[in-house]
Amino acid sequence: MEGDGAQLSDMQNPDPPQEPAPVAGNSRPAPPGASERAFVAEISHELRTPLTAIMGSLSVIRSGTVGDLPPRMVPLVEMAQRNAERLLALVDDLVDAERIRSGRLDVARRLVDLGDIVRGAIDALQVPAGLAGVTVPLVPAEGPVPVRVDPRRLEQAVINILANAVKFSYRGGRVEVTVDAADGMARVTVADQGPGIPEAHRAHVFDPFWTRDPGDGRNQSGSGLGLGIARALVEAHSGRISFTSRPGDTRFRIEVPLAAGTQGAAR
Amino acid sequence: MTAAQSERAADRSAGGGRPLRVLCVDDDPDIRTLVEIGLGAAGGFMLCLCSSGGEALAAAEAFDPDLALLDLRMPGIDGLELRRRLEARPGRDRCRVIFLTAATKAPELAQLAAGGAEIITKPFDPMSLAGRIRAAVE
Repeated sequence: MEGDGAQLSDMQNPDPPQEPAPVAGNSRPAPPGASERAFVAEISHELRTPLTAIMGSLSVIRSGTVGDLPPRMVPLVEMAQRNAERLLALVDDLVDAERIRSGRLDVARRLVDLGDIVRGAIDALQVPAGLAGVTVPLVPAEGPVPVRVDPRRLEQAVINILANAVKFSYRGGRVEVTVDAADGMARVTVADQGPGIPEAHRAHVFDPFWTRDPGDGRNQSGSGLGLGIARALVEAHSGRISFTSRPGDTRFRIEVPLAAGTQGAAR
Repeated sequence: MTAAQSERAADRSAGGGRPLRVLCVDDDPDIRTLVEIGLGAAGGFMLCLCSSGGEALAAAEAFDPDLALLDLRMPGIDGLELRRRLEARPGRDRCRVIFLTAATKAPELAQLAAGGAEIITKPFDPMSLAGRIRAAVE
């Protein structure tokens, strides 16, 4: 498979040890980006620790271990949980964005069914989709679609695309997810019925920190990192992401090579 | 809080059998509280909470843990060094170690995994901690 050689070597040494930070009197310069890596790693660590206390406390409260939660407080605790999870996702996105920027994204491939990955991604989106009043039906392939990928990383890419589609869907809308294979490529197509991406915005969709207002007064704040990370994750698997958009029909397509020696199932 | 003061029975279950003795070491008091609540709610655990490696080494002799739950990054004696010193004690083969860490660096985690260490990354759910610990010792 094209590009696998480099990827396999990355798998064996996914994230080489960092050089030590420069010290006074040491003439050896720090490697490019080392201070940014160290900064992001430190920030991530320092944010995860208080998030552990916040999310853990909320979980204990929800469990009823420390007393029954009055029904009127349940939505408030759920709101706090959702927003803590958003913060955690942002921390994870920042770490991934830095790894992508510095070419240090780790990808550990194995043979899996793309359908299983997509089902996992849909499961992960059930709660936010339910809150947004959006259904996410799956149109599966007729059989397995074998791919040699890092399941966690590719699921993350599908989740990011799905989350974007849910975010820009109208309440009561649907985001249809199709898995199939054609021309040696395994494909995931995510189709939403939202307002579409304006022509002027299309060139920026994958830009880091770029966000757009859905224009209907909904609070749709996000880091603007998700689609760019998704594209980098797919490209790390020798794949590609493309999209078409018009009002009521926006389709993002993820394509990755079918596992060598397989054809995969057409729909 | 000294180790002796923080040692307490978290076994609130009426079931029989010797409770699993867990030595939890984390410099963050909030994390220790979550561990205490999570294992206390599950029952079947005796817990010794320590805020530093030095405190843990002093407590380990009397407490004789079945399992140590160690924060990886602590001032003074860090989690890796603490595991080494705990394992250097007589009878160390009885004590399993699980690291708690907020680290996301792949080399750091890979190094731990390569050494056969169990890892729980932060954030973790205190209400599922007991199950993860039991799975690790079985």
